[in-house]
Amino acid sequence: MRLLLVDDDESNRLTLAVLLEDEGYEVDVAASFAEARAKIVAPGAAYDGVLLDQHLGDGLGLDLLGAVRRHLPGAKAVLISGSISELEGSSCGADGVLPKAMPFPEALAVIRRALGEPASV
Amino acid sequence: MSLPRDPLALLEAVAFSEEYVSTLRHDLRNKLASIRNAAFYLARRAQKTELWGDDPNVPRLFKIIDDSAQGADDLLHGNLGPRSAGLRRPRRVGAAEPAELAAASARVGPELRVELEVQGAELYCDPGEVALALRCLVENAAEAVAQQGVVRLEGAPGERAYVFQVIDQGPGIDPARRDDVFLPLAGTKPGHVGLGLNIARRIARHYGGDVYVVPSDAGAALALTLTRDLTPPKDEP
Repeated sequence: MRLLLVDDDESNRLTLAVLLEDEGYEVDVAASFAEARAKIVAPGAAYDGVLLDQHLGDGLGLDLLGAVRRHLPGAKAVLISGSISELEGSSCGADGVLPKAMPFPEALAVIRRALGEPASV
Repeated sequence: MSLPRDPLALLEAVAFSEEYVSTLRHDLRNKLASIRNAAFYLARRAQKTELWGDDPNVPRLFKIIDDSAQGADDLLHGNLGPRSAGLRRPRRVGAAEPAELAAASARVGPELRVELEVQGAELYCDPGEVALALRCLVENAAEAVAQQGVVRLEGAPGERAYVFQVIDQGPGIDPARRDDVFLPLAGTKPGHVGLGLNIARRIARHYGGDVYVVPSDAGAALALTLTRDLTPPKDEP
């Protein structure tokens, strides 16, 4: 499984990527809205899932959903937010929503569910 | 002699507090997530070594890190600061009402011209709240122009949204930094913390709209849209 992790916070990006790689995922990272968009629309881009931080310095993760759907039709999208109430109950269109400081085992379950994988592998 | 009362003062104070707390909450959650994930990784590694069994303080201290992070996150979940939702009084209003309230209460030096097309344009909103959003844009524009400059507040109905535009004759917005204007707490003007545009955008989004930079050859233009759907938002009666 190949994931694109989009987060403008370097520490968050590094720690979550390390944990996901430890779970067997191949993780590519993007540090901004612009970098993420470039990777999503790049010819030959291939990701099974895209994890989008909602509050990127140069845009909203939610606003990348359209590009994910158009250019990566097989990929699942999970929105990550520190202000999860703004996404709760809304028809944001993501396959999963992840509160930012959630314990990793629970976060992993959300990601696996969104990707259509069994809860524990 | 008493100064005239600002009709938007309470809404502004609460919106400012809410935006400030929201920004801090987001930034703190980022830090907590990193601490928690890093500790989880290290604990999992340590469990595979003799250290985990030989020194009972090692698992104990990892648990303290995780419990403390959880406790801090629980605090962030709580009601920090006032919420504007408690003050919200939405109703059907003509599009002119919030614009006129914003213009009448704007604390601006330059001339403010208001030109609105309001024929049949109704909105479902708290007019004070939308006036506050528009005033944030107007005051932001006024700060960008000299005292002798002009700020225009215009409005016209679109097919699905009513579109207000605030246009100034200032130096404009560098296209490469167009998204940076919405970075919270990144204001560059002395005496301003840089939350006005975030407040305006939060309010617009609550009413199914948004705030965005309009490409402009001269000066800067910001648009604030509000849905023309007169159905109350889901979280309102």
